[in-house]
Amino acid sequence: MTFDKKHRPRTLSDVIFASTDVQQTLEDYANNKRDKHLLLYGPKGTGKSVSAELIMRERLGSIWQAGLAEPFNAKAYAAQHDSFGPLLSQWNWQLSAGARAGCSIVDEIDQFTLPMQHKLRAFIDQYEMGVVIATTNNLHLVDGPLKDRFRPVCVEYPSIDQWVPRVVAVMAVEGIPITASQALVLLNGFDGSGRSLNDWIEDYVLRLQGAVHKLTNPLASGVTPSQVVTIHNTTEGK
Amino acid sequence: METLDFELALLPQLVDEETERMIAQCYYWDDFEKIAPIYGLDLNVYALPEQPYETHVLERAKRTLKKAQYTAFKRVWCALDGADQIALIDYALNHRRDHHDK
Repeated sequence: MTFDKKHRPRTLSDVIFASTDVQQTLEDYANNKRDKHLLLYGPKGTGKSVSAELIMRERLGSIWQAGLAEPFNAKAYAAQHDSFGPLLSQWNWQLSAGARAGCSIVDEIDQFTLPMQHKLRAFIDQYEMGVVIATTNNLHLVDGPLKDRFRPVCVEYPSIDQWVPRVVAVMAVEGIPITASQALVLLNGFDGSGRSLNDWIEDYVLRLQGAVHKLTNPLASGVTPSQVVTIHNTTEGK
Repeated sequence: METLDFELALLPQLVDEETERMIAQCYYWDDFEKIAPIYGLDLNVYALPEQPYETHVLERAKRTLKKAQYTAFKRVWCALDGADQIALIDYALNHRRDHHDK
């Protein structure tokens, strides 16, 4: 299993958000407390798509299976379809499986042409038995009336401090226990994108594991917190 | 007929989200079984409702109505054939949705 896959968020609570309000709103969606269509917007790498998938998974609960919950990418969808029949079918299959309501993801909704966005607006006005979770990096390209059908939620980059618990958790899974302040040192220079966080940590894990073997104690099976800082100092500016 | 109208007027309060969910689940089940292999779905995970939704309505009546009301409703309800029961449930659900939308 790749490092990235191994440490991918498993539940919405694993995802780090800059705003606790955003986190609470998305938790409400995951717990089926909100039914308005949801539009996640913000810069790339802020966790919009992964959040959408986790919300959908948690909404569907025990009936979730990958085949029932394939996300649609707007550009790829529009290349194959000129209506929202497939989206309706997905809802119908989910209802057949026992879902309380359907749920579909449309990633990069701004990639739909304007006529297609109009069709989506008509579709969600006509059918009320499901929720669309859409994502976009370009909110300004989403048609106003379509946007009005959604609850827009801005997802921003978390601060470095907010990433610290995640780094501590990942390092612990890798057998390298570190403190919050040591995690903060490791994050020095990190740009804040969730998509690159695992790459960033993986670099350190590999260097630390490699460095362990070079330490004076050849029997060492892990790194002590104080060693982390020492090793960081030697690998700073990697 | 007056009695029938009166007893069936109770129906909107005897249908709920669960009735709606049961109907939706049954509605496309046959198609769902056909497409399941295409999407790699394991149908053993799912089960159709154990009781028909006509029975679900009757059970809800038993739980929520006074005994005399329930007895009268049951007499009228059980005298209807299945197709009429389903049509009336559908009507009651629409009524409920309209009521909720206002």
